[in-house]
Amino acid sequence: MRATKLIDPFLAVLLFIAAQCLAAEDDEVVVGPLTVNSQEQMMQRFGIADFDQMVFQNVGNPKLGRQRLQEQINLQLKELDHECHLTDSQKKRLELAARGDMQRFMDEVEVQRRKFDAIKNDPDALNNVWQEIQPLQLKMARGLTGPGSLLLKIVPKTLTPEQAKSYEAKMSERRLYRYRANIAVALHMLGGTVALTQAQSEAFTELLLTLPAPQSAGQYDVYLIIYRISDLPPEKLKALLDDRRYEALKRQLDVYRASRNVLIEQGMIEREDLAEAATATPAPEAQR
Amino acid sequence: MQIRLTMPIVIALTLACAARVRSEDAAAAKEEQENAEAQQYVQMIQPLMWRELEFIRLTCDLTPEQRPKIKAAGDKSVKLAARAFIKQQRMPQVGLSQNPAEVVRKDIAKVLQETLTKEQYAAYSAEAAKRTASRKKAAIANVVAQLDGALYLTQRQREQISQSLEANWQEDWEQWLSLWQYGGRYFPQIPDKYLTPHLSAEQTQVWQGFQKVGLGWWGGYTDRQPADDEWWDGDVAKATGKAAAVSDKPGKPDKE
Repeated sequence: MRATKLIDPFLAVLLFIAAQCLAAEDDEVVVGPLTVNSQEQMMQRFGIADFDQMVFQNVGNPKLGRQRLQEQINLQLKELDHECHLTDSQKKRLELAARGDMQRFMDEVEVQRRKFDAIKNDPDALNNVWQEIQPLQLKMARGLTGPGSLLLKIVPKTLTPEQAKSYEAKMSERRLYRYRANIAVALHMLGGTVALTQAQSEAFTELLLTLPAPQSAGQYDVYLIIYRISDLPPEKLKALLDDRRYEALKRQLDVYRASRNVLIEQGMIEREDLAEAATATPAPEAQR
Repeated sequence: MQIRLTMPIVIALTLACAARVRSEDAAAAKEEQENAEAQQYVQMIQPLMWRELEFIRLTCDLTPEQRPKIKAAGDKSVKLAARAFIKQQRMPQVGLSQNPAEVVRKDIAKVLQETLTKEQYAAYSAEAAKRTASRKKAAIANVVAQLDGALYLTQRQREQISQSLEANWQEDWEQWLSLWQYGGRYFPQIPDKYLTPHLSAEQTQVWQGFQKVGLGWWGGYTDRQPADDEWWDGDVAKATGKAAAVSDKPGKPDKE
């Protein structure tokens, strides 16, 4: 108690400041970038092995990548054979076309690899090559023999009319499955703007199913569905929604309507698609 | 002598005092930082709350008195979900993060049970059950459609895989609803045991070569519902004006 009284306040303040300084020294904060610049990271990481990693992803190299793509092509050829009972000459012709698709892809990979080698130390140029590598990545993931491939171009010229009919039925079934799945996702997404009851969702689904399933598929699938809704006559939408929700949906659909040109560019819609939307009829039980 | 005795005490006291001040400062700074970080997630989770509130508004005929309590539960849930999300990010080893939409739905549902009449709650529950089933179906169909495009499934296989995924459904698979955005570049991490028994050996081999990723919770579902805070605040006068302009039901304004 006595000792306390004898403490020099000035000394206490000095000690306090000293303690602060010491503590500050101990807890020294290192100031610097929290994250390494992503370009620098890319620069450090990129080499041929990483180029392969980027293009061939988790299979990691051209040999295994090619093998995986070939296995996927084999699945497609097997399905064609199963549906159409191909003759040997038909099989050979289709295999040749598929080999052409493979060769075309591997050639594109080599072109990009050379570009990559030339600029791999230049972060700005790297960005441009990265954009060119993405389509290769996508092909690697989705396969080489989709729309626009040599294989799909040669199929109609190779099959007999009966075989073509059978194959088209199979493709049509697949497209419809995908279309239904995309409708469900699109309606779920729209639920962020306009809550829908199950009956309303079903009515929208029925309306959309009166339109043909899109021929091609990709990352714009769901936008296409919403675009199609945006193109329905207002009275059909009004019949399904109350005024407040119709207004909210309309505002949202106006945004999607602007995606028309993108969808045309992507081959998702053709100009004549749009007229068909007007003829679609809502299910009466959902008009609430 | 007095100085000699008191000096260590003084030093100890001042150091303790300094440490306490610093610790309080650090805690306050940490709190502030966490709040700032949480705010980002609050903004991301809020649309999920509005989605839920709109759904409740659609399915229950809420009285003005019921609305603020439900809205408050939503607001609270958003904040808690945002905090939980940050915690999870700091400890990713703990496992998958909770679906913020599900957290909000469950939190609000608890309050609904206490707030709604039996009839209202029954109407909400029935519609919510349909919505859950439909969401699950959509997520599964979305994945199966992508598998179909890559593995050339038969109709039978599509059905078998759908059934298998439905029977073994896990809540976090709701993420699959955002799969479409990746344009087929990635596949979700479907446990092999639910998929490969329904694939041929060749299909299995191709499946194993695909890039599989966790998809996250945020993709594409953050559209804001129509702002209608007055209605949810139970502010009859302001909400009446809006309701007269744009009603919930054709020819009928919102309940006041």
